[in-house]
This record gives sequence, C-alpha cells and structure tokens, in this order.
Amino acid sequence: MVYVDEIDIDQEGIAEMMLDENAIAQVARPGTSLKLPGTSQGGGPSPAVRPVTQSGRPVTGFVRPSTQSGRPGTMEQAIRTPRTAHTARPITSASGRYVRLGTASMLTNPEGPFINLSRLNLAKYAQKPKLAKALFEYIFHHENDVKNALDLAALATEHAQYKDWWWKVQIGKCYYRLGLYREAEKQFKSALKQQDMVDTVLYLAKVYFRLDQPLTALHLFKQGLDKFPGEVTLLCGIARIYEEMNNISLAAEYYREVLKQDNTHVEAIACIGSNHFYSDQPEIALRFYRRLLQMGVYNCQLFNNLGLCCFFAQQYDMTLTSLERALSLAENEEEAADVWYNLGHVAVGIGDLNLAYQCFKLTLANNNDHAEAYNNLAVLEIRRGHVEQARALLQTASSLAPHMYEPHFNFAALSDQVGDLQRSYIAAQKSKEAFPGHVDTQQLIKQLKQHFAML
Amino acid sequence: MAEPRLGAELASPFPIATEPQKPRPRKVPELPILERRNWLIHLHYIRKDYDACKIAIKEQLHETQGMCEYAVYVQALILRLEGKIQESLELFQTCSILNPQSADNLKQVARSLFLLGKHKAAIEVYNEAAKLNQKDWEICHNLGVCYMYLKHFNKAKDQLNDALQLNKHDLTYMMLGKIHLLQGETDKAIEVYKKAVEFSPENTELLTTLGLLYLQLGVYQKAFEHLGNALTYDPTNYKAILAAGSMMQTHGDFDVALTKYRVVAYTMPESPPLWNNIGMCFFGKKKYVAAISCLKRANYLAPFDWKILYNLGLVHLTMQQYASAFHFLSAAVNFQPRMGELYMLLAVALTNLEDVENAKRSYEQAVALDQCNPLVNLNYAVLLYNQGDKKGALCQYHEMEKKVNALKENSALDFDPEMVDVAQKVGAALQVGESLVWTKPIKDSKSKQRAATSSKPSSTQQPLGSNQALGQAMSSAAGYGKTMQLSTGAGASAPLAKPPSLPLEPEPGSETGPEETISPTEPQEWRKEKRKSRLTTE
Amino acid sequence: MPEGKSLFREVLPKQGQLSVEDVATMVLCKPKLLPLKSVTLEKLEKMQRAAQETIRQQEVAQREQQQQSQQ
Repeated sequence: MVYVDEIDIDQEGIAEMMLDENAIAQVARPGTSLKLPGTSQGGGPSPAVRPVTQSGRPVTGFVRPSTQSGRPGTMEQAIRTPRTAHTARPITSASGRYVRLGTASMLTNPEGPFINLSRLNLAKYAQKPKLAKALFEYIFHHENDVKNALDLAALATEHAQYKDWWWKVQIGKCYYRLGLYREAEKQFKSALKQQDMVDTVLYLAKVYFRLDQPLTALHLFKQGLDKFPGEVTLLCGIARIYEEMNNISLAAEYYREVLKQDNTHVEAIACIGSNHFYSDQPEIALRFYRRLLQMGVYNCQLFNNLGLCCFFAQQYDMTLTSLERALSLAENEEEAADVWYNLGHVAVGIGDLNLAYQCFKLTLANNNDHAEAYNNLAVLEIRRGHVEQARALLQTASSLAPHMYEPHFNFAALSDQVGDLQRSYIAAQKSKEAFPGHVDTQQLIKQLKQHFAML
Repeated sequence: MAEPRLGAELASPFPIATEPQKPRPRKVPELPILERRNWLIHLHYIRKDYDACKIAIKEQLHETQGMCEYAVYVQALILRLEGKIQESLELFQTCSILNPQSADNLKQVARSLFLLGKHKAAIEVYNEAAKLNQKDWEICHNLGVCYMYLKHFNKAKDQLNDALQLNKHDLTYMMLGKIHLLQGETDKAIEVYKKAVEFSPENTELLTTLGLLYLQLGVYQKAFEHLGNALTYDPTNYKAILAAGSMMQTHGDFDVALTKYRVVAYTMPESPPLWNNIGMCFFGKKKYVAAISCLKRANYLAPFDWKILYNLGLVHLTMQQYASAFHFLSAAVNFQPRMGELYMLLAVALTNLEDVENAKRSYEQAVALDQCNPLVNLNYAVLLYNQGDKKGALCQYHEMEKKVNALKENSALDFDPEMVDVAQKVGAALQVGESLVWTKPIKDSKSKQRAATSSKPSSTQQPLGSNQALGQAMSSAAGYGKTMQLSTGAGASAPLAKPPSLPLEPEPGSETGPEETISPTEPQEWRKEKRKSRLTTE
Repeated sequence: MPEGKSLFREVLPKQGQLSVEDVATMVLCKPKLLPLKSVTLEKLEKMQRAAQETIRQQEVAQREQQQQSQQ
C-alpha cells in the first residue's frame, strides 16, 4: 500500500504557467514574486561560483516536486524546460502526474475498477459521514476523479451544516486541483478558522504559491508558527520560500531551525550542505553529506556530492570511490552524465587534461544536451589550439543554455581575439544579461564600445 | 565626421515656391530641402540623444527618399554604436554610392568591415580611401591594425609608423607596442612605450603597460615609478595595483600590499590573480589557514593557473601536509613542465612521503631544468647526504656554490638565512671547507639604516604623485635596484645606490603608516650616506 | 621524520609565485552538486517506472498473442 505525501505533489503544467489568469500585475515588484528571482540580495555566491538553473536561481540542494517553477518567457522555452527532476521531456498538463497514481494501482487489478463511480448515489453516501470520508479519499486519490469527489464533498459539507472543517479542506483541495485558487483559498481559510491544523496551513500555502504571492505565504507560515511553534513542516516551508526568492542566507537560517527540531531532515541537510560547498567550505559540506549517508540515504546524487566534497576538502582517498559508487547507482543517463561531468572537474583539478577531455566527452555521450560539458570541452579545445571546434562547441552550449553566462562570455572573448567584434558584442550582451555582475564581461563590453565609438 | 553641407549635390525633388503676380514682400528663399535638417540631426547626435536623432533622420529620409547623405551617415553611426555592424555597413555603402568622392565614407565602410572581422576587405577599402586622401593618420593607423590581425607584422609596423609621423596618438603607440610584444621584441616595445609616455604622461594604460614591461625585465625601480604614476592618476587601477602589490610583496611589505588589494577587491571580487597574491600575503605573515582558503578560492576560479597550484603546494609543504602538497604540485607540473623549482618541491613532498626513488628522479629533473636557483641543488644535496651518498651530495653542493657565486654578482637580494645556515652545516658535514662566502660585497648594514630605508610608502594615504610620496616610493623601490654601481655623479637620474641588503623574510609588520617623515631630498642624502659607508668598509 | 644529528631537513622557499598580470582567460563551468530528491518524488518516479514496465509487458504479451493467433 503506497501512501504518498500528497502535500508535496505540485507539478505545474505548461498550460497553467503560460496562460496564468491569476497574475495580479504584469510586472511584479522585486522581491514579491516567485517568478522573478530577485538579484542575489541573499548574499549567496555569485554565478561565477555556483551554477544557476533555467530560472536564474542558483542550483538548489534539494529537488521537490515544485522546484522548477519560474516563468519561461516564450512557449518555445516552456516546452524546452525540463519539467521533472530527471526526465527532460516536459509534462503538458496538470493532470499528467496525478493520473499515474490511479493508473498504477489499476494496473495491478486488470479486472477493472473496484468501484463503479457512475453508479454511485453520492447523496446517499453523503449522509453517512464516516463512510463518506473514506469514499471521498478513494475517489479523490485513487480514482483521481475530481468532479465526482467535489460533488460528494459538497453534499457532505452541506449535510454537516458547514461545521466540519475536514470537508472544507477537501473541497479546497478539489478546487485547487481544478485550478480555482481563490475559491480554494476561501475554503482553507474558513477551515482554519474552525480548527487550526498544520495540514490546512500547508495546503493554503500551496495555494498562495500558485497565486505567486510568496509574501502572503510567508506571513501565513509565520502565523502558523505562532500556533505550532517549532513545527518542522512550517519552518521548512518558510525556508523553501526564501530559497525560491533567492534569499540564500535567510533560507539557510530557517533550515538550521529545522535541523534544531529534526536533525534528520534530509532537505535541510542537503540544502545547507550545498550552501557550504559553494561558500568555500567543502569540509563542512562534507560533514553534512556524511550525516545523510549515516542516515541511510543511498543514491547517486549523494555519492556524487560526497565525492565532490571529498575532493575539494582534500580527502583524496574517498573521492574516486564515492564517484564510482555514484556512477554505479545512476538510474538513468542524465545522472550518469552529471557524474562524468564532475569527474571531469576532478581530472582538471589534478592537471590531467586528457582525462578531463575524455570525461567531458563521456558526459556528452550520456546526455547530448549537457551544456556545461560543451562549454568545458570548448575551453579544453582552445587550450589545444582548435579554435574552430571550440567555437562550434560554444555555440551549441549557448543555444542549449541561454541562462548560463559562461558559454556567452567565452564566445565573446574568442570572437574578440579573432577580431569579429560584432559577434563578440552580441555574445557579451547575452553574458551580461545572464550575469550582470561579471567584471570581465563588463570590461569586454566597455572595450568593444570604445571600438564602436571610434570614428 | 561629415559636416552638414548646405550645398545640394543632387537636384532638390521639390520645386521652390514661385512668386505670385501681386507685388508682395519677397519670401526668403528656402534652403534646399535635401539638407534641411542636417543641423538638427547633428545636434541630437552630439548630445547623444539617439532616439530624437533617429526620429529626425527618419523624417529627413522620408522627405528626401533616402538621398540625404548625412542622415544616412548618422543613422549608420548610431547603428554601429548599438552593435549592429552589418546593417551599419550597408548604410555606409549607400553613403559612398551617394558621394563617391568622400574619403570619409570609404573609411567608414572599411571600419565596418574591420569590426566584422573581414580584415582583407577592410584593407582594400582603406587603400581606396588612401587614394582620395593621402595624409590621413586614421587610414594609416587602421591599416596597421588590420595588418596586425592578419599577422603581417612588418607591414603593420610600417603603417603605424607612418601614422605616427602624420599625427601622434596614444592608440597608435599602443598598437605599435603590442605588435613588438607579439613579435617578442621587448626592447623595441619599451622604446615605443617610453615615447608614448613622454607624449602623453597621464595615460594610465600606457604607464601600467610600461611598468609591467620593466617588471618583466627586472628593472624594478622604473617599474615601480611608472606604476606609481599610474596609481596617482587612477588610484583604483586594477592592473597597476596588482603589479605594484606584487612588487611590495616581494619586498616583504605584506600589510601595505593587503591594503592595496582591499581597495580593488570590491570591484573585482572574483579575480584569481588577486586572490593568489592575497593568499601569499597571508603566507608571508605566517597565517597559513587564511592563505590556504584564499588560494583554494583562486584555484576554484582558475583551475589552469600553475602559479596558484605551486603556491598551494608550497603552503601545504610548510604545514607538513605532504599528501596534499604532492597533489597540488603534481597538478602544477602538468600545466608547467619546464620549471625546475616545481620538481624540487615535488621531490621534497616525495621525500617526506617516504618515496626516495621518485624523489631522486624528481630532483634530477629539477636540477636539469633549473639554471639559477641554488636551493634546488642544496635540497638535492641534503637528500643525497641523508641517504648516505656523500659523493653525490658533494657534487650537488659544488653546483650550488657555482650558482651562489653567479647570484652574488647580479642580484641585490640576500639569501634566505635558513638556506645559508643549512648550507654551511652541510658544507661542514661534507668537509668542504670555508671556501664559500655567503655575504655580499657590501655587508649587512646596521638595522637602523635598514629601517630608515625600508619604510614603506604609505601610498594609500598619500598619492604617489607628490614629491614626498614619490621619494618614499623610490626609496622603497631602491631595494630592487639590480644595478649596484654607485654613481659618483649626483644627477637625479643617476641610478640609486645599492641599498643595505634586505632580508627575504617579512619584517615585523610595523612599517605601515608614516613613521618618519621623509623629505624629498632624502634619497639624495641617503645615497651620500651609503657612499660614505662603502668607503669606510673597503 | 628521520631524527639524528647527521640528518638535515630541506629548505623551503619563503616566497611563492606571485601573479603580476591578469590575463583574461576562458571560464569553465563549475562543478555541479546534484540536488537530492525528496522521498515523494522518488516514490512517484518508482511508481511511474513500474507502471510503464507493466504496460510494456502487457503490450509485449498482447503482441505475442496476436502473432500466435495469426499463425
């Protein structure tokens, strides 16, 4: 019997993202929207030190089902955005993920559904609260039939004379699924008035997330914390919001609070660990990841991170074994590609450029769209003097990952060397868009402008 | 830039209003409509009001159906400023069709081609333009630059020299200097830059480049002088600070160097060479943990830089973390296989990791590659002696002696006292005899004099431009003076006398802040003092 | 470390290598820490994979049946 933490599931489909009717303003004020990560007011490491993702935020330590939020500008970008943690293909509608729960369980009983919903007399069952509740859960989670579930819930809540908070929450969940966020908000708020429950707070926060109102969600969480002091899920929620808003220092603070309450909280440990790694403290990061290992987490990502931390913390004995273990645990090619990519970095660190070259090539063999590997291969090719190949690689990298500044900057520098100042200028502008604080880009642009201004 | 021309070159497409029959006061004849708005376009352009300019241009072009040359010209210029070179090129070509006699238009076409990287085509068009206008320095200059990109250096140099004769410009000097450097002719490059600096003494880029060149050649006082001047005009000039800071560090002025670096670290937060130097400042002050974290950051940002890896290896060796040291040094060797000292450090690491065979091989490599550093031979001698191979040790000891003697002739810097100590002990153990003299012709002076001359320029408080500050800077730079000849003539341009030999160890950092006021004439007086002391010792 | 009166220690240079100039170089993309997945996500993915497996097996079985019935 699979019991999934339903609160966590939150995949936004492309349609929802592109045609969002809930946006209040066209352009949000800075710091009030999840779609536009603020400039790194959080005091985290710059993109020169910590890789950034599609949405312009630094790569996080933990993937939750809702991590890849961030509005793509055009439909094209939206389709290209990887929507899940590991598959590159996007899901197109909200119902995509949810269906699978039902399908999976149905497949085990090839005779057909357990209950035939069309024949149910919902009104009758609504009269019997305990039965109704069980039935609702079945319809909602297992059959994934939101309409019927909503009908049942509406009848039941009427029967309970609107005094049962549980039904209000369920109705709220149905509205949420159907995309009627304001109505869902009303239901949850009403439920909260009747009975304070952590779950309700979490559901309501999800609604605010969808409405792109992180500050309201924060406020809600803090109120929740007043009533449930030290509640880990609430603290975690606050930390997640801060991370989504690119305020790394506050996020780290709240994750620490989480750890004070629950020192086996995987998400907090992973996020704090990755912050330490990118702040020049790989030894501390290593301690955090070791803890995860002690807790029994055993997967490709953890061993990859352990390997990297060991290398940068100069514990050379553990580096290669961890990375090898990571390779063996890789469940698909993208993960293997990432491990090979990091192995390439280790090779660069020991000065073996041939090995590094091979590792990056293996990265590409496993994942043809690995932009970082293209970029690094280009740098290696330039060191070998193969300028044309380097240029082609850089162009591939820039088109695959326009949010990364490295390929743009490298292309600009290369073009500048050769004298093709127009291409250099265009690439430098793209690099500046991706990372406005990059000093070398600024200087390059200044130089080019001088050339252009000269008559 | 083309001036607004009031004379119409093409027939105006609009008829001028004719007078009616009635006697009326005459209307002022209208200006030819073709060039009517040139002044407005020009005004907007020089005010950098590009949007208004574009509107005016559009109107003008609409009226004249694209025939107004000046409007097209300015439009092309604006496009170029926005980085749209290809479009700009097409418009300039239109201009040159509208007015084939104008050298300016051809020059702009050529420049656009140059900006697009099409150097050969650019050269052709420039040559055409040269036919129209022989004595244009811009044409010569740009031809030189094009030839440079095509790597025809001689032609490039000719063109640039022509340009200089016609009309001197900083940019031309810089290009000429760059070409000399590309060809490896450092001396000629220095000549060019010297002339450039004479012509334009406030150009920080020229000053910094010249300073760096002198630094490369080891003419430290001039290097410091030029870098100091550059810093006067621009106290936050990153290149000058980096170079000046590294000179101060070599001198042992870690605190001053650190203050200088702090100035520039805000504007350049992720610069690997800066972090490298900062790390080595901490190393000099014996703060090894801070040194390591700075160096590791530098290494993270620039994994290919062998100097950072060398330093990481050195610091770890000093902290007796031999495995880490080995790791960094072997990486460094991969990036820089021709440096003897690296192999020596590698050998030290191997020795301490109990791998004597490979340590010996590493030393062999080090000794084969290194030309002038006696430390390499000394350490090899130490290893051989420790292993019981006295003959080998003796051989290496003699090599070391040769290098020491060579250095005594040429270098002002004193030897590391620890090295002297160990060498003497090894010499005693090998029963070499007291033939090797470690001290320099001018003995180690009294420490008072050393303190007087090694007061560090408090250049963060005072600009180096004032005589007093420059005097301080020069007295400090004098520590680098390679030339040891004392000048009997007391001209201001005479090279400074050899100072008391300065230790390589950092002095207890009490020299920051102006402890003693140094008068502008101090260098002169101190020089005389030195002369006196020399006369007394000999 | 070997002890003994007659054994010497090597001397290390006191000055390291200083960078005098900053030559602009190409930038490498940095090493990537992989984000860990939440338990929910892992379970979902496992279920997804299991479902796909089952579907595939069913299809294979169906195809075989068809082939058999054709023959």
